[in-house]
Amino acid sequence: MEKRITGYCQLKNGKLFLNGKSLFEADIPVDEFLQKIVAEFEVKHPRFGKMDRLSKLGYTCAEILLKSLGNFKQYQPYEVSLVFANASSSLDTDFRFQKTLESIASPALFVYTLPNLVLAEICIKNGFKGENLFLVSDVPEANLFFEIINQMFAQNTTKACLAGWVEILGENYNCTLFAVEMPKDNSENQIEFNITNINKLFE
Amino acid sequence: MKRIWITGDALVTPLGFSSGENFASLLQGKSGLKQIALPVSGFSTWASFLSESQLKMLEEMTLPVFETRFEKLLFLPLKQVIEECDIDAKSSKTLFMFATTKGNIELIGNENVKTEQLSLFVSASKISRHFGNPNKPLVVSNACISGLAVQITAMKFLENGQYDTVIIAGADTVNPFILEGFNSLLALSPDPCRPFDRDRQGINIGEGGAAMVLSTIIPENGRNHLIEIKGSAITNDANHISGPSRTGLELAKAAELAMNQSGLLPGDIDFVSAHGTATLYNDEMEAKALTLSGLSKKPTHSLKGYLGHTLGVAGLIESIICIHSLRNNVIVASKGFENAGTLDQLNIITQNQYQPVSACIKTMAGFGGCNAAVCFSKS
Repeated sequence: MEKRITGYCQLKNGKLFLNGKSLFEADIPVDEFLQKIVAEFEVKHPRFGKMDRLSKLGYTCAEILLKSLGNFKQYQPYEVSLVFANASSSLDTDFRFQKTLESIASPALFVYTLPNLVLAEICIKNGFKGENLFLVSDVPEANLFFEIINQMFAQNTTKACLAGWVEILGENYNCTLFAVEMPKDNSENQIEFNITNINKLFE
Repeated sequence: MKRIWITGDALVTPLGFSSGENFASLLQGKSGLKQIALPVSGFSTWASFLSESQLKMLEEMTLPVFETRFEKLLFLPLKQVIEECDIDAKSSKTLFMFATTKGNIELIGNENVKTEQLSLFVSASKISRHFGNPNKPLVVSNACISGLAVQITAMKFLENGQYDTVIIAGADTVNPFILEGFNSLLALSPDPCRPFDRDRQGINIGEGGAAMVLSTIIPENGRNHLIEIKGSAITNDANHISGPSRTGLELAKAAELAMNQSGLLPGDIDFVSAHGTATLYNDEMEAKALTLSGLSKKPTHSLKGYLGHTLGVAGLIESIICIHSLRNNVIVASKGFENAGTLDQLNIITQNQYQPVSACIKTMAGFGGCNAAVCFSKS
């Protein structure tokens, strides 16, 4: 069996795309945009309000993608790995935490001053216990995802991978996530797992 | 699997400006921990940070272009390994990788600082460009497991043959952002930390820089004393964003996978370099995990009592000490331990143990429920 990109989801510039299809559009600030999407697509999480913006963005995008991928439930906990990247790490939250130092440091914000917390939120919700990596680069590098995901499948326990770019700093945001699996049968949304196709997702 | 050797290493910490100096200081039982009052809340804790004279030395040994303490702590150990270890930093088959949690965060809040100066990638590419490397560097920022996650990611790029050498550097600093943050979580110890001890009260923060070279090519000067990175794994607890697993099953799984990939059984492991942050929950979870992995009887230490918790670089610093233990056949004692303080008992050693050592495992856990384990062995 070959690795295929079995689905992809993007939240960028007030638009939501799932597998290339536009599902929602609103020219509003990112916090409002996420609120609307959460309501519209029934993205549920008891602690959603407590998450930082990076986690909200990545979690929402992951949930919409995972809902569209029925197969993801079949994997054992250690079979699902995650590799995410961005440019600004957790800087959006770092600035917010820094402001609280003027009065009382906020423990609730400090916890989110690490970019891999978005991975944790997705893992906790879905019970994913496989490898997780958070990388920082200037722009999404298709080659990087391709090589790392190939090695994840080659070593240890990975049978499915959730990967992509999750960036937010102020009003600038872009979340583009994709799933890689080795499906037994082909369905309409699958595309070949290669560098050219990963690059297209980030356009 | 390809064989991957550690062909160079360097450390800069309050205990010394080279790996050798650090290793000797640890064997002498020296600690970098000093008492410090927090700048905003006033809380009194201990931390391992560079003294005024060490900062001056760091300044003199680095270049003005690397302005911050973080960048200097990345640059100096890199300069040492590249100069001393016959490594072609300019080769297209060489990749630079970096591990840090917070980079230049010491600058945050300063009005004159541009957002760009806080970027982890900007610091990383400034340094890799300085050494003439043609490839875009990669930064791994995976909370407290960053220093192991960077080695694990480097192994992937060596395994697929895209690069034959990865030069890794990592650093994190002691600064108000980090100290006040950990204090807000009530995680700091008012005293020198006591990993795995009954009376442990929390973390001490530390700072330092480290560089490590991983390569699939054996250097000219032969394979004597060469140490291999044999296997590794990362898992997630999928349980809580900041609290560790209640069962330790997930860290145990990481240790099991790392040993499997290394072709090692628990019986082959001579010692465990634990995370041992000295918080109630981490040490308890780790004791459970090491017991589940069949490693609870192995001589075990935490180095946090010497160097504090150096966050994103802790995995690199502690791995380099493991490598020197393998080369010198001595296991460093754990500092700050007197009475067993976990439900599952570990064999925490309080004296340096001189004995043949051929393989060891380094474990870590971090915020976001992440766990990592790496095995090292003699060739």
